[in-house]
Amino acid sequence: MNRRWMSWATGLLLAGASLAAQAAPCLIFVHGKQTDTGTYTSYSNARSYWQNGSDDFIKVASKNFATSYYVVGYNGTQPYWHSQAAGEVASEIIAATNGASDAGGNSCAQSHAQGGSFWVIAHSMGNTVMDFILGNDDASDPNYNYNGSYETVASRLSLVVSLSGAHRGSEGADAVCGQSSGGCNWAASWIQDCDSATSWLRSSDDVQVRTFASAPARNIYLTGGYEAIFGASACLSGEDDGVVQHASQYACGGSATASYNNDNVCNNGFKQESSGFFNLDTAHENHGDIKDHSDEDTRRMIPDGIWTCGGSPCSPGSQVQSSMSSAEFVAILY
Amino acid sequence: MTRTRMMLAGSLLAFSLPALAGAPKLADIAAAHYRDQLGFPAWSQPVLDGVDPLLAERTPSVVRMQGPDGAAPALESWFGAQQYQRGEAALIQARLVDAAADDWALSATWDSSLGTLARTPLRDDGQGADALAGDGIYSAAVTLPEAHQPPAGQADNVMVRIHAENAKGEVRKNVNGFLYSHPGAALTGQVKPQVVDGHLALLAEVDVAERGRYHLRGTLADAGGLPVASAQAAQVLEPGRQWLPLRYHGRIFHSLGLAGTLQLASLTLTTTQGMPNALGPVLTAVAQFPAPALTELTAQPHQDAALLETIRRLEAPLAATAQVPAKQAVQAAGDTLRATLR
Repeated sequence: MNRRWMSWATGLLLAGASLAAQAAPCLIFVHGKQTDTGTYTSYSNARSYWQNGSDDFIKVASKNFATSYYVVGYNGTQPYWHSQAAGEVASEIIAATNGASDAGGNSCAQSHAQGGSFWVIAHSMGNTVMDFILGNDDASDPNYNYNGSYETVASRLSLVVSLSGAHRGSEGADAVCGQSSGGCNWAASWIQDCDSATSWLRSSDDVQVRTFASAPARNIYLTGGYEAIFGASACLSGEDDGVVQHASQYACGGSATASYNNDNVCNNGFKQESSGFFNLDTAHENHGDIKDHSDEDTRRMIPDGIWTCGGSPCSPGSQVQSSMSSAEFVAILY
Repeated sequence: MTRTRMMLAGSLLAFSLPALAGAPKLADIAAAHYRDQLGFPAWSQPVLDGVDPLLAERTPSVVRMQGPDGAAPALESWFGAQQYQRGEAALIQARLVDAAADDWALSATWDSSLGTLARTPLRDDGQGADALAGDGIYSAAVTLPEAHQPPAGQADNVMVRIHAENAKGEVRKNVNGFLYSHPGAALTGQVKPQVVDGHLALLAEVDVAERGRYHLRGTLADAGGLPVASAQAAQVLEPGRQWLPLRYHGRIFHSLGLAGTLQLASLTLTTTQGMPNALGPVLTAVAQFPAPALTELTAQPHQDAALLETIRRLEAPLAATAQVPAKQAVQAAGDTLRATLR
């Protein structure tokens, strides 16, 4: 699909027609790459993925649990397209939208049949999984309903909010699989070994999700981080969150290893697919911080981003918030 | 006028936060975006930026990797194609970005799931796969052997690791890859245009060796070669010669005023029996034919009931009283497209 003529301005104008308070969506959380199967077999592991001590992304994003939510757990050691990754995520999203509880007893306030609406909040590789699902929901897509009813998932979701998404993989995965990690410290991240999932997060075309999926059937709204991680960031191109470079966090077209900064990262007209990906903003959070509300920090505008200054789009690169975590950001989006 | 309206909308939607800036509610934004997307199906979309989406996605990407601690020079690599088949020479090229005149020696290890396929030097001497001596671009090619060929209808990831080292002992590494593809069918290049149910259907002839699911994708261009529409289709095909239809939605022709000669600018067939898919080559300048008369083509927008329901729920107020009339929503989308194209 091609929507390059669209802009946030269009959205702002049309959005003006709808100012009434809106029903809160149910938030469905999809975690990222793992080095073991813990989040797949244990609800506690999947839930704690979003926590860091007393800091809790889900608590903040759900407005102190006032908004209903569901926590997905899948096998993050498998490739994004695997039955225990995309297949499991699709299955759990359908369960959530049917009104079922996750293993922690959390369920959406309204099922799809009861009129509920559903947002996926995905981090890192969770977004690669969602790209595969939402880009293969139609019978004309290359991998239609590959290992689950992706069509049902797409029809029930309203949108995805992408946190530090590995849409184009990670240069960290290149370094680990290319045995070129000298000086780059990946110890704190999920890419310590070139396991199957890591190999499928490399930058080469033969593993990229865009090679195996069409444009997403539901829109993916992109935020990411630009706080470096000592050692690791030196091995990534341009701005990055210590694990994933901007070209991937913002689902850019062209090379996955292109170098971007906050004021020139790809706009909505140059994405990995010709429609369905839209910029929000960028935060001074690293790859871990952004998913656990441990760093309330600066946020900055990016090209075609969501923030307005005096009624007009803020300038790319300009500071738009001085102390706001991505969890807080999600909470103000609905 | 537009700026004034935009500022008004922005001021109405901005948050009253102790903040430097405001952001509108995402549900409103998404609903507006979806209204713009109404009217065309997933199987056929207009191309409005003049870029062939198929060729853009199938152009091999450059993979760049920095040195230790981000040290320069970085090592870049790229292939001649994203997929190769048995007997074809897979070409990899590499360069050290802004490297000094040090003598670098480059070599590559080619690994498939069955083991090491080859170890090769990359040369910059104008010999073998290298086109030009001393241009800083190092090249190597490997003819893909039958021993590593995946089963019919499948593909295998071939990972190529490059090692570069200069006389000072400085090392740079890079990893890239391609698909060793064994498609279960191939395009013959024959295409027949028809009008079916108000849409232009291009029937592409496929020579099927293995029963399987096949995905066809192609881009239509105007007489001047400007891409105007993309389409995709998928179907299970039996062995033998088959015709697979690729439909271009009739409303695109009305919206863009397409007439005169059209051409199928690019076309590819992928075997989608499993992951990774077995990509086929991209054919270009496949066929030319006259555009159908607009009277034969539908001007009606595609109806996507699920997307309309998504919009309705995004816009639903707490009281859940608002309803979006389907016809009204689709008409509004059509108006938006027409205004954009003017």
